[in-house]
Amino acid sequence: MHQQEMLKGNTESVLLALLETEPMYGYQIVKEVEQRSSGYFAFKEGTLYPALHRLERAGFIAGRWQDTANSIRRRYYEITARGRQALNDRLREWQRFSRAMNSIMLPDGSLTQR
Amino acid sequence: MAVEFTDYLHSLARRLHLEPNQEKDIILELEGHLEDKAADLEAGGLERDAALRIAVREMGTPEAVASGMYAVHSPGAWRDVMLAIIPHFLLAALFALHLWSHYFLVALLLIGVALVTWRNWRAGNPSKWSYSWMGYTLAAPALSWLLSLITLAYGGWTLVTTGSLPFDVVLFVLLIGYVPFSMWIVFAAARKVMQRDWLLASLTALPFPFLTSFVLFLNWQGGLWRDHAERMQSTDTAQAFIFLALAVTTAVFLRIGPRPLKIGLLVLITAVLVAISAASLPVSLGFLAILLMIVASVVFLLSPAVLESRLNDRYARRALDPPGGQVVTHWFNDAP
Repeated sequence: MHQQEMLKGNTESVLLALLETEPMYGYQIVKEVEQRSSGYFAFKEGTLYPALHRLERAGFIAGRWQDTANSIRRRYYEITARGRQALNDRLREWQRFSRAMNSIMLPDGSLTQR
Repeated sequence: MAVEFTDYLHSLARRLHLEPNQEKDIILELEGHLEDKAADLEAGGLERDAALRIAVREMGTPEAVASGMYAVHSPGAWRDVMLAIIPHFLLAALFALHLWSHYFLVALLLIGVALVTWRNWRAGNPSKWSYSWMGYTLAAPALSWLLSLITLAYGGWTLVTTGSLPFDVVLFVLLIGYVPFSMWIVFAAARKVMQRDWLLASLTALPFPFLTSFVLFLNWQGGLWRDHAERMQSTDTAQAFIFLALAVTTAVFLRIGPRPLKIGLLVLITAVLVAISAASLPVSLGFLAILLMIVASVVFLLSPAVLESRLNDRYARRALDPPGGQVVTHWFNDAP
């Protein structure tokens, strides 16, 4: 439950980071998040699409329809130049945040098993 | 195909309350997602119907998904906001400059507003800004319907009690014809507005409680066609403030996303402005009378929700029991 809250707070950053590697459609993003986090994070599917559309309205990503062989139309999203800039800003903020958190949560600099 | 799947998409589409093209894109995208997920589950050994049911369940309730999408897509652009507040400003200016009793000028203004509305609505896909314009376009037939009804009732009552009409019989006959005609115009337009979203119908009807109370009071104070201007001009500042407040309310309504906030805004502002409007009239209204005015105005503004709910029920029954007996399996045949 806690990891879902953490993911919820960073949904847009996660989406931008994923889409920086390649254009993806919604279901592909869900699977990619599960795969990259080894099942630790799972997108609540109903909240994914409002987040994607919010990013698109903000001009951070652009969507385009693409036909598939089995006649399903998928909407692929790709990051825009503005989105890359936003991602860079968020990554820098994330690094500062994680350094600060680590210095509090892990003062000796090592992750110990509890 | 699982009934839950088609029901889900129907239910979602009914709750989106967005522009037709946006709704179409959203439903197609989510339909694709559900198909992809179901195909994965089928590959894992599930039956198709069971796979679709699970895919639907994991997407979340249609209410939650529609609410999230509405919050993203409903805020209008600043251009919509600027255009939407123009008719409220024009009315505020009429009162601030004490010009409202120049009926020729008011008529010209209303005709101009109606022409702009007609141009925007004739293509069948009205812009977000045009709903406030539609409100003032409908004000003339709605208020004239109300006044005609009052005049007819007065004429009828006088005819019954004294045996003669207090005005020309031709006017009486014309009014009998005009009442259903003006009502038909208002209902036909209101139905069109509600097809998109009952909340936009409420935005359209936002000035009605204030225009109605003003015109009724004017009528009660000695008729619209007598020398009334001097007394009523004492309320002009309050009326100008009310229409300025309606402009600000419309702007905020169009810019905020979450639907409950929009509903709360309309209810709150209507209650406050009706109280201000009642207090500004040059007669002493009791607390109960003002409270009744507030309740009546809020119920009137929220009444499109009930009408839309009935339309939806009828629509849902048609979808479940279509004329040809075929269950709808695909929403849009002409995908983008």
